[in-house]
Amino acid sequence: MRLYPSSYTVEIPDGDELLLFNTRTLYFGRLDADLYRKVLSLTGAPDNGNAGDVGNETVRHAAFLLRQKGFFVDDPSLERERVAGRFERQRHSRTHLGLTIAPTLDCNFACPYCYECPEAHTMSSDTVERIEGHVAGELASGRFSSMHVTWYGGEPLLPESFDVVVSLSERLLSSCRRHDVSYSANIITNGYLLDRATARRLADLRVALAQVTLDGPPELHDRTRTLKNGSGTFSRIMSNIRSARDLLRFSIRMNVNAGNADAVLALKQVLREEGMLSDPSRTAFYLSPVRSYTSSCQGGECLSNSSFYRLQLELLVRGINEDGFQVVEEYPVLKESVCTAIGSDSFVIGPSGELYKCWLDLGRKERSVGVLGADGPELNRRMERWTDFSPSAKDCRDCPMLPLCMGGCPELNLRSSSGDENQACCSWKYFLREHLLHLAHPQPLKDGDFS
Amino acid sequence: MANAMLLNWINFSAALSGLPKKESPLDAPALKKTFGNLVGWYEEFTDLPRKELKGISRHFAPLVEQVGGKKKQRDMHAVVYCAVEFLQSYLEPLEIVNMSRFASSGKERKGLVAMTAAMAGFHAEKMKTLMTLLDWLEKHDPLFPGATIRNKFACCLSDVSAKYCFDNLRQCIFEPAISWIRTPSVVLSGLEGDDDCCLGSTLSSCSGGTLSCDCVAGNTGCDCKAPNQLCGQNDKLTEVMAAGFGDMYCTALNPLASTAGEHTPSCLVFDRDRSRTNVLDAVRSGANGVLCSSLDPIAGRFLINGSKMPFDLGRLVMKTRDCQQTGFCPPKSGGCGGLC
Repeated sequence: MRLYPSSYTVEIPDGDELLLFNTRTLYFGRLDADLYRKVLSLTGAPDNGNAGDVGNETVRHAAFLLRQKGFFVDDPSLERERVAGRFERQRHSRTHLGLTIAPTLDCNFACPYCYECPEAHTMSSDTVERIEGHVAGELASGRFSSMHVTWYGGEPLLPESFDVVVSLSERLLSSCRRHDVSYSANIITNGYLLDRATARRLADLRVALAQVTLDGPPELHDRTRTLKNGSGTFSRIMSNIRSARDLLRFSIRMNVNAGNADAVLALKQVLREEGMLSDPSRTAFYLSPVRSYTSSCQGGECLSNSSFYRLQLELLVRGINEDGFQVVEEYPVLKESVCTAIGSDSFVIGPSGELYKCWLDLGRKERSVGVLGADGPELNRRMERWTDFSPSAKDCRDCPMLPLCMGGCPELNLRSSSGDENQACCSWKYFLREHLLHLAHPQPLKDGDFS
Repeated sequence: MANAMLLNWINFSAALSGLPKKESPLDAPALKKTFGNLVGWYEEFTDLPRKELKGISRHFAPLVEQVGGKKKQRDMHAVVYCAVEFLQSYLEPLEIVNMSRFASSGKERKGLVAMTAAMAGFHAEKMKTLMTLLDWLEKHDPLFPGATIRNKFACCLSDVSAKYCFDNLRQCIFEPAISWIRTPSVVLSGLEGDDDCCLGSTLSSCSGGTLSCDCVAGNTGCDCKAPNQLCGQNDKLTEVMAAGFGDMYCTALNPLASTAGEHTPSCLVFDRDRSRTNVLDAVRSGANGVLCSSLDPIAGRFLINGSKMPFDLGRLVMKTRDCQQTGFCPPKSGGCGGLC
């Protein structure tokens, strides 16, 4: 009857008790530390001195319950294989076609932290036709049941680019209808050109959600999210959101660095006053750390991974979610999605039809994985970098957080080297223990406890 | 929607069907007969109309076949897991009645005592199979807490009106003091306890999408579909096999949108949150404590029909929360949470 503690159990001493959390099953419990020691002894775990007391019903029952909830397993290697296998199944589930399309890399903004290299070039009609042909060919294979497009840029709503969005959407929708494939789309835009007429057109083209970035209340936002001439943009963006809210759902992103980290609650207050938080089904608000992804990023003041996650914990303690509108994730969830970069049927398509796997590579032709030719994708050897990626490789293999992040951002993970802080690591790696203690003892902490 | 006993018995029967006959504690006729008796339990102790329950037994064999799916061979762990799930669901109403005495007085208390007596009589007369099952579990799983289960039965079915099986923290006096601080909002657990295909998949991890699982046929796991569509376009059906007495996260959407059995329901069971505070899933404050709001102590019945939740075997409609996509990259297929 040898059982092994799960590789995904996090143990947190809490006085005479022990808090136990399992990142694979997401159960979080509390039991007497002495009882747990006896369970370890009973199950034959290595840190015990004898075979344990099988006859003790309480200990046996505790072991039974903990096994049932995944805290003990028969075979640790099989447990790890199953976590990896689950992800691989999702990665190779070839029924969904996902494309990110950037009709242009040009932009009307000049954000200092932008990692892209703007190019005043818009997708040609020839490239539009090649994308249409590629999608039609894929859908004709009969293996896809759904398709999703993310419109990206540059700024996809620049006039010429928007014409491409309209033209290509109509073609893709027609193709999906012909092959009985469900179609959905969203758009990543700075929001400056998203007036009501544009929003209505997008909604007609089955774009359901627009992601717009606000870097804080007006005075802070207008420092970083500026037009090329340096003028502020907050007022117009908010006006556009206001006028389009009934047509599109909005995901508000806040790029956080040391310069605006204190303003998260203030931005939330602005959104509340705008009435945007009254219906969480229409609006999301989330934080993203500014990172130095590429040499073009001039952001400065970047928060380290651990500082960003500490900020999130502090926000939780300060009640960021207390009005019922969740900004910071309160409880871990399993990583169910697979990033475009490693998904088997996902590409990022640049304005010239060049293909990428990662959004961060967009516009860097030396990192493209191929080009969309007249007969479909012509891929090069750089594809192997992505197809070879395994979240269970390297240091992640033995990390108890693996089920929650599955290696995180593949690009960041691939860039990291052993020993350094892995930028792909999920927030829970840094504050899970503190957060679980907070959940177990939910009294609010005083200001300054996390300063 | 409180068909957990029936559906857990179907799951258990499906798991047993994967064992060699000589290793099985109960043969097919015994399994079917017990299922029929359990339907009788619902007739006697719930407000479900007899006409709704009539004929349910006919579905037993096809449902077991359906749940068993292509993967015919099961290991002992799967059988134990399903058996324990069933026992928990069978004990749950007994626990609720016992604990409800805390909050009751007068006619309510008399009703609860009478209900306990009736349930004890039913158990002794119709559910002898369970004792055979307990013997078998104790023999085959060295960790199985048989004494605790027997004590809980004895306590919850005791005719001594002042006998309580739980302490003031609603902790069962026979169980080890493990309290679950949080559990996944709704866990879709597989037919096999260690089967990753559903374990840990939650509605919250599929916010805005439709979580569909197929644990048995091909072991393909759970998938979150179309998370980025508008909520109204996402009100699809997800079918699961069972739920406890309190399905806080489930909403009936359109019972006419699918017919029972149309979709392969596979192996799913809701695992209710077993934190110390919700042995009673739905409670209302009383002068002396709490009383389960889905229990009519004077009538001696659980109010399943009155809860307006569908009672169909193998079908439960779930609506996931709307998407709050928080990633930098769009998910390839489903899933909204976390940076990619």
